[in-house]
Amino acid sequence: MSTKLNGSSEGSMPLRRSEQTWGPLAVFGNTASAAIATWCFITGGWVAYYVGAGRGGIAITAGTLIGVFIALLAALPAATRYGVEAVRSTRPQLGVRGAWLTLALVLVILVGWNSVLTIFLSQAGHEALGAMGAPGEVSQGLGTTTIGVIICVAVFALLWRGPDVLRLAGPTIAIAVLILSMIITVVLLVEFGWGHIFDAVALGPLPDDRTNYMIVIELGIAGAVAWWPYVGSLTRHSRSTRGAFGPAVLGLGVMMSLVLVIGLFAALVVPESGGNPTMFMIEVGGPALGLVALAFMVLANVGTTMVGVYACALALKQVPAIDRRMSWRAATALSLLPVIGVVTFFADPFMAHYGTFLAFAGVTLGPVCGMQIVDYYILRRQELDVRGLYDESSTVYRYWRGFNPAGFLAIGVGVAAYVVVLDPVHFVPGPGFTYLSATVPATLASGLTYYAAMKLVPGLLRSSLTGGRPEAELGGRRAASGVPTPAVPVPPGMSSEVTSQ
Amino acid sequence: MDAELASRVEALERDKLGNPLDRSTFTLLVVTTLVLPVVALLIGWGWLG
Repeated sequence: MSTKLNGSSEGSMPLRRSEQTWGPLAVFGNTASAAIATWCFITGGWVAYYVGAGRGGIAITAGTLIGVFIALLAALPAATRYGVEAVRSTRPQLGVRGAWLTLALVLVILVGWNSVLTIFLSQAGHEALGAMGAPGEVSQGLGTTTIGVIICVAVFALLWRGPDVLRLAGPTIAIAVLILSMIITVVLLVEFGWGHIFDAVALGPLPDDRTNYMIVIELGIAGAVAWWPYVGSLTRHSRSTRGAFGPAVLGLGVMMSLVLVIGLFAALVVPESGGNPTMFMIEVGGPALGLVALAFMVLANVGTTMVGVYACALALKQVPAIDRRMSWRAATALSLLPVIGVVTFFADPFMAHYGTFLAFAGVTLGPVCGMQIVDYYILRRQELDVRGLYDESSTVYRYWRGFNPAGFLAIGVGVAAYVVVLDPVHFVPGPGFTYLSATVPATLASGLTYYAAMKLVPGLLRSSLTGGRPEAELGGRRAASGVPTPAVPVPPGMSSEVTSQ
Repeated sequence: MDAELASRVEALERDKLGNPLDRSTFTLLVVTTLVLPVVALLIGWGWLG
């Protein structure tokens, strides 16, 4: 049984309508505060290696929005309609036991992102404090570890009372970060001017312009698809599906693109910054602007880590044994422990393999999204079996001993498609990359494979619609057409066409 | 299934029917996050010559 905090149930329980209290501002604030962090600067710095400001700005913004399209389409409607976060949302595609794969995936990715953010912030914070003449000389390792642990403790304290804190903290952090971003942009423009920024050439492009362009698009798509584990946790508290989409696009897509472009500009005109304008701000404006940059980093990274730890704790609570035995606060603490471990003992080796970690997220999540989109919209017409999602004794999503082979096959094919089109570790393009990117074909390959397998393997789709019960028990329309029928009567005034859109 | 979960599942089965992704929201999503970005990318692609 989950622990109740301020009336909200944080665990495996579905939310009641009265607990879905987030309006558009809360959804926007939390998606924006999740999306904006130091990694935007770092990715912006990578973009500067391949293209200049004009094409880079277009490619990274458009790529990010396309990635947001994939991630939101896959995760948001099921989250707002059924209250599911990432792990539980894959039960229909992978099976009740197969969703353990998602749990492992989500935990690795969320712990990884949280570690990346904490290390980024602690290292940059230590450097910035040193540059601003902070008293008390300490070694880099001790300084960053201390700051990292302080960040983790602060995040734990902020999440002490559950997601109600996010509803208030998200918009506050988002607005503050937006203002600070504007200040950083103005400083960049005043110092260098539009002309200098747009005349600056790419730092280390490949010989082929189109390949450079597509690599940047792929960075945007893969970076945005990597939000998939966060989307369910961020939007399940929304009052409606319609009311969550616009704010989520603004938060995850537009706000993130804005900071990516700032990182691109900074890296083009101050190449040694790598996209992070903090040290540049201190050099230009002394401690006053240094504090602005530091405040940006703290708010942006703590906000993202807070959302990441919340999503991680929520994913852990989807395991019934953990949900029964562990309180919300204990799950939050457990989500932070690996981060403290990485920050304390493995910060340097972890960051040395940051690119591999990014590749892992990009390669796996596109296929998961493709499979989920086909399943939710085409095969199930937005109708999931509520008991199959939440009741451990339900047979609806049990498939073959709890695993759906179609889902695993689809993910395997999607990952293979990605690797064929792009070497994700060294970013070496393969056939078709220049025209297709890598995440898009991986997503399509996974979705098509899933559709074919569900249709061709006898019993898979039928059993997940009926739970093994005779179709005659489930209503005429599904039995006649194969289209899922709502498990409860349609309320007055609402046509069945609307419910099965 | 315990009573609390059963109660919440029943409430969800009732409520979910009013909260699908409707066509207008879907269209808006497609236009803003797929069509416009692809058009922008094509413009950028043309810029490459």
